Amino acid sequence: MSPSFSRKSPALRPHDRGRRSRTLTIGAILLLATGVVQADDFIVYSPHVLATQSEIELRGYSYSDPRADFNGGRAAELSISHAFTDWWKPEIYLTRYEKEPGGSGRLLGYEFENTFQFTQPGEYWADFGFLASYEHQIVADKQDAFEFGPLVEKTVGRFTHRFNAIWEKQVGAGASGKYEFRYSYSGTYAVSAAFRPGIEAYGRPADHAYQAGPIVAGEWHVPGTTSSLEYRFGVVLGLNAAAPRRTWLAQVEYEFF
Amino acid sequence: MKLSLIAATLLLSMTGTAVARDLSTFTLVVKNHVYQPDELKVPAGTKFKLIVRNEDPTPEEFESTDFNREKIVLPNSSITVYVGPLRAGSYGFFGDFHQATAQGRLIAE
Ligand SMILES: [Cu+2]
Repeated sequence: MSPSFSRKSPALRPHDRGRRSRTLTIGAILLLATGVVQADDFIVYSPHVLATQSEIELRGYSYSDPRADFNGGRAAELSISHAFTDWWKPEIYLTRYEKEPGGSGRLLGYEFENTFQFTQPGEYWADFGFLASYEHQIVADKQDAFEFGPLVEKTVGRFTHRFNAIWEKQVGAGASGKYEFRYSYSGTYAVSAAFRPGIEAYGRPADHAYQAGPIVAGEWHVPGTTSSLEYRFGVVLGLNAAAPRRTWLAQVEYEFF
Repeated sequence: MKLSLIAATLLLSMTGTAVARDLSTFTLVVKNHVYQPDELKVPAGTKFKLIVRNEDPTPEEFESTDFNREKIVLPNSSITVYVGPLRAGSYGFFGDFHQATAQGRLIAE
């Protein structure tokens, strides 16, 4: 998924006709000056699907950067998923909230996301999967989008490396027609199941935005049940000026069978 | 074009060798939320297959932090887990849903 924004973009309301053309001009200049306004969801997907598992997930991020392009930007989303087989996990994002820098918070729409697992963990040199999702917007100034790309995971002892390459294409009237590319990496070390520190890195070439920083993740099994709680917290730092200085990431997940 | 051909060949040979190589197979049984055997000798330095069979009427999750695996075993069914190559040593695994009793080790040597 992707809450589709990274920097301040003009907030258009259909009834604000008077300001619209000026806003559009400013918007066009902003786009030219900063490249394509790009989406990121600050997650590195695993290709693994655990058959018959259901999940409720809440995740979000928040920029910490006094510059007007970023100040106050944050997003959050709530999703549910169920793995119907050991190779297919569909996920529905019920609520996607976003607050653009300088704007006010609003709900964006829904998303239908699918994870496909192609190979068994450890079967080949690395584990391969695929992500395909469709994002439906309920706001007038954002496009529906289709998103897809390969998911790779390699485990070496207690180390887990993940790599995602994602292409996003807007669809519908007014769509940009371009494929926007982004990639992400995560490397973690399992001290225990509940404590897996590591690093995550995000690259959005179209945005010239590159970020990396420390994270910690883990899983805690709820005793006497078949359910567990998972968490992931971290902060990724802007590696260049076009990326927000600090982006705080948070994710909690309840999994059950 | 040339690059993608090379990549495809590499991928094919990689998967080819992995499939062609007959992996040795070991079996674990979960019964009454206990692994049988609870200590399993496996070869070090080579990949192998673990069959985990669940004979309980409830699901179990085969899990290991030491060798990084997590997989559901439904009641009265089996799964295949690819493990290794492991360095010589002892590697714990457990059943996530019955951690008090479902504990075991792989001894790689
Ligand atoms: Cu688990």
